[in-house]
Amino acid sequence: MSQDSPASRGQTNVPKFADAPFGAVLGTIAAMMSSFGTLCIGGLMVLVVADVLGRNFFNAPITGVSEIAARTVVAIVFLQIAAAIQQKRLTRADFLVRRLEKSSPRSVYMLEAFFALTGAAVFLLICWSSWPKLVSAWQSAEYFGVQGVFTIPTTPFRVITVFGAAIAALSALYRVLEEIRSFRSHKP
Amino acid sequence: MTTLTIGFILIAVLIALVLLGMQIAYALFAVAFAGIWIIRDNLDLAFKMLELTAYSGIADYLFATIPLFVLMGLLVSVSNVGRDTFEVADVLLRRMICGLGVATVAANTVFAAVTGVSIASAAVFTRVAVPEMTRHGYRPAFAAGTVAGSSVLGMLIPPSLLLIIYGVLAEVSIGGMFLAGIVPGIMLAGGFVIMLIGLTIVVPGFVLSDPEASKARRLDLTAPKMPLRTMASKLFPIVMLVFLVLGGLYSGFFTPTEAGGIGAFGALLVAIARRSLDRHKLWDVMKQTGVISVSILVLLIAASFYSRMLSIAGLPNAIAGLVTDSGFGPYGFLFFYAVIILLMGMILDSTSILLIMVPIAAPIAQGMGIDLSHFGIVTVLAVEIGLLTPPFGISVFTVHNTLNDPDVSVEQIFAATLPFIGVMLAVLVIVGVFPGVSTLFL
Repeated sequence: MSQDSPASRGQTNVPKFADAPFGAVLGTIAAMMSSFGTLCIGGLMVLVVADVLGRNFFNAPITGVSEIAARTVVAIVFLQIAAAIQQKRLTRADFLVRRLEKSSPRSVYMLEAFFALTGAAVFLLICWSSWPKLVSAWQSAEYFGVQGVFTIPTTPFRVITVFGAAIAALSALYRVLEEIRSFRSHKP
Repeated sequence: MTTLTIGFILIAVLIALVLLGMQIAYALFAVAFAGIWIIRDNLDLAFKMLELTAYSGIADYLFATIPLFVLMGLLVSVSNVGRDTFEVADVLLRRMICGLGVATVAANTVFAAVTGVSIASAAVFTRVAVPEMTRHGYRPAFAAGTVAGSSVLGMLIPPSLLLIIYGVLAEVSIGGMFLAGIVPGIMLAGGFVIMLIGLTIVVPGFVLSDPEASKARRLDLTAPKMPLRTMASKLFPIVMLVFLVLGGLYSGFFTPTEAGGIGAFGALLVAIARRSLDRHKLWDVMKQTGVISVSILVLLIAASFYSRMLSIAGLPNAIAGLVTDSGFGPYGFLFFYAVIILLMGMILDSTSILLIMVPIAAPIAQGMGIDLSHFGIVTVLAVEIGLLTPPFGISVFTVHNTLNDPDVSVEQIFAATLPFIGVMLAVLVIVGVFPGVSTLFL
C-alpha cells in the first residue's frame, strides 16, 4: 500500500488463540508494537511543535530535536512493519494475482507463499546483519548527540530494529504456512 | 559477464518479480542484496550495506516529514474542511457554465494546499461533490471522473508526498521541489477549468444528463446567498493552515519537517474545534497514518538499498553513456523517460515508480544538464497520469469504491477522466519543453 491506495479502516486480524496459538501470539505482539509506533508518530508531532513554540516564543529551543526525530522514524518503521505484513498492507502490483485468483487459485497460493518466503528471508537478513551492531552498542554504551549538551543511548533504537525485523520475519514465515495450508485445503 | 550485464539482468529480474505481484519492498531488497553479493563477490559487504541502509539510511530528519504530512492530510479530511471549501466555491461559481465542475476543481486546488495525498482528496470530494453534481443534472460518471481527475492536484500542489519522496531520492531540497510545483499545479487547475467549460459548450451530452436542470440552476436568481460572514468562517481554517504551512516553509521560517509538525498540529486543532474528532476517531486516524507512512518508508529504505546496488554496478553512468552516445539530447531523453513512466503507471502505483526509476534516471538527467527540480516535476506529472489510467488507476478505483453506486461502472469513470488526462499530457509537454515553468521561483 502506498499513499494513493485505498485506505481501509484498521481491522485487526489476530486469530483466536485456540485456533492458531502461534498466529495469535504473533498477532498480539505485532498489534502492541504497532500501537506503540502509532504513539511515536503523535510524539514526533508534539516534539516538533514544542521545539518550534519553545524556540520562537519562550526562547527555549529543545536541543537535538532533529537527531531524535530521525531516530524516531527508524522506530516507527520497525515497530509497525510486522503488523503491515500480517495485514497484507505492503505495496504491490496485484493485477496479475487478482486475475489468476478466479482461474487458478492454487497457483496464487503458491505465488503468495513464494513471495512471503522472500519477505521472511529479507527480514531475517536485516535482523542478522543488525545484530552485531546491537551487541556493540550495548557493550560500549553507544550514544548519539553532543557530549555535555544532550546524549541519548542508541541501544533502545537498535533493539527496536533487531526485534522488529525478527517479528517481521516470523510474520512473513507465518504467512508462508498459511498460504501452504490454503493450497493444501483447496482441491484443484 | 561484466558488472553491467549483471546489473541489467538484475533490473529485468526486479521488473519480472514486481509484475508477478511480489511486494515491491521485498523485491527491491532481495534483488539488491543478491546484486551486491554477486557483483562484488562479497557477502560481508552485502550484509554491511543492508545494515547501514536499515538503520542509518532512514534515520534522517527529512523522513519525519512523511508521517507528519500524512497525519495532517488525514486530519484535514475528517474535519469537514473539504466540504466547507466546496460549498463556498459552489456559491461563488454558481453562475459559471459547468459551475459545479469548476467548483470541484477549485475546492480541490485549495484542499491540495493542505494535503499531500491524492487519495484523501478523492475520498472527500466523492462524498461531497458527486451527489451535488448528480442532483443538478450532471452525468454521474462524469461527476465521478471530475473528482478523480482533479484529485491528482493533491500530488502536485505542495505539500505533496510525491514531491517529498522525489526530493529524498534525487537529493534535491524539498522546499525547492515545493516551490517548483506551484506554477505547474496552477496551470493544471486552470487547464481543467478551461477543459470543463469547453466540453460543456461543445459536447453537453458528455457532461450533463439533464442540461435544463443545470441551466435552470445557473440562471436561478432566487438561490439562497451565503452571507459573507458564513463564507469567511467556513474558509478561515483552511486559509490559516495554508498560511501556516506554505508561508512558514517559503519564508524559511520552518524546515519541511517543522512545517509538517505544525500543519498536523493545526489540523488537529481545527478538527477538535469542529467537534469532528472523538477519542476513537483520533486513534483511527493515527493508526491509518501509521499504516500509510510505514508502507512508504519501508519502500524508501528498500529503494535506497537498491540504488546503492545500482551505483556499485555502475549502471547510472553506463546508461548515461548510452543515452549520450545515441545522440538523443536532453529532450529526447525526457521524452523517452516520460513514455516509460506513463507505461509503468498502467501497472504500478506512483511511489513504486518513483523508487524504481529516479535512482537510475536522476544522475543521467543531471549529467545531461537538466535541472533536477524541473526533472522532478516532469516525473511527478507523468506518474500522476498513471493514477488515472487503467488498469491500475488508483484514484478512479478510490472514487468508485467510495461512491459505491451500481449504476456507475469503473469503465465509465475511466472514460470520463480521459479529458483530464489530455490536459495533464498538455501540461506535461509544456513543462517538459519550458523548464522555466517549474524553475520560476527557484
